[in-house]
Amino acid sequence: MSAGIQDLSRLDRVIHEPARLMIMMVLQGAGEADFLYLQRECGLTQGNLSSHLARLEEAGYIDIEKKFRGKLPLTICRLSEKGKAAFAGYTETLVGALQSNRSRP
Amino acid sequence: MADQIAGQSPGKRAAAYWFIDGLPEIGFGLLYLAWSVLGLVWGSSPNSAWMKWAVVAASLAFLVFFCWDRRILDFVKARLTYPRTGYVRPPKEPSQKQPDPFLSLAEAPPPLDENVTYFRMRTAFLFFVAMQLVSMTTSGGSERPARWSVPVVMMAVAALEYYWTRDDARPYSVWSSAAIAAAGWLTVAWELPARSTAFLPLLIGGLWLSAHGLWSLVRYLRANPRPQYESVPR
Repeated sequence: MSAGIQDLSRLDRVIHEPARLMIMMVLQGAGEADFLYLQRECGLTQGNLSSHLARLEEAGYIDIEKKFRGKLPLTICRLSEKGKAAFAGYTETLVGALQSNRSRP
Repeated sequence: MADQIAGQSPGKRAAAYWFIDGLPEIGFGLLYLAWSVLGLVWGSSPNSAWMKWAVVAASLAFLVFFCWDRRILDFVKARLTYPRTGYVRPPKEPSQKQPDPFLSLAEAPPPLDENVTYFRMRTAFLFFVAMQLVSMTTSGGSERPARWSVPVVMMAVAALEYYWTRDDARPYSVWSSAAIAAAGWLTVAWELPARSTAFLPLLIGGLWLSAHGLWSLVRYLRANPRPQYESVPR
């Protein structure tokens, strides 16, 4: 196997899961978002989203802050510096592997 | 609006989400309406005692909203929008980095990131610029702007509105932009005191923005009824 394809084995498994990848993509583009927005954007159930957020927080990829806006309690999620670096690395690895596969005859 | 943001990148969807409830348009629209009504009244009774205070109050409101529109809208959205469809960070205004509004109107720099909007400079401020342009067309010592000025300037505003916003977080259709030009032509038949004519672009802008905002708000509220507090996922 070529180095390009073998790189895929180094993909971050925490991010390399469709639901968590969606969450990371939304947070990377938006900056920060609350639970309800993430749920609507990703099309996940409440329990599913909670478990994936917990997994990402455990890995240190997102920061979760509970605060109030008016009288409304909000669970704000945003990418941590570690999360941004991990997502950049994940994207680079994946794109690199896909491009090397495409350039092969 | 929901149709327009479908299929876009997460960052651009986040920027478009700021306009989903129509509140930014309603805010600027009402502000312009208030200013233009005041201007129209000022033209017919410039020496009224209460006019001075009304102008001071309107100027303050204008300044406050232009400087703190994000905070004010965020305050309203916290009670109206976030409980229904959630919160996402408001988009940045890249033009804040460029002190000259005319330069930033002409440039199309690449966005700082995806969650950006040019609404304030390319949509709201454009009507303010139009007012200035109309008031500059006076001639021969007369206070009255040229009769052709409002239709011509509003045609230019309509074209720019469509062209600049077509890939933006809040795009406007050709027909919507054409309504601005049509409104400009309609004002030709309206006999106004000399001083009031310059406020017509603000009146058109106020009506146009308010109509867009109210339409978006009604559609949003109908599509997203306020959830029972217990059922809000937290």
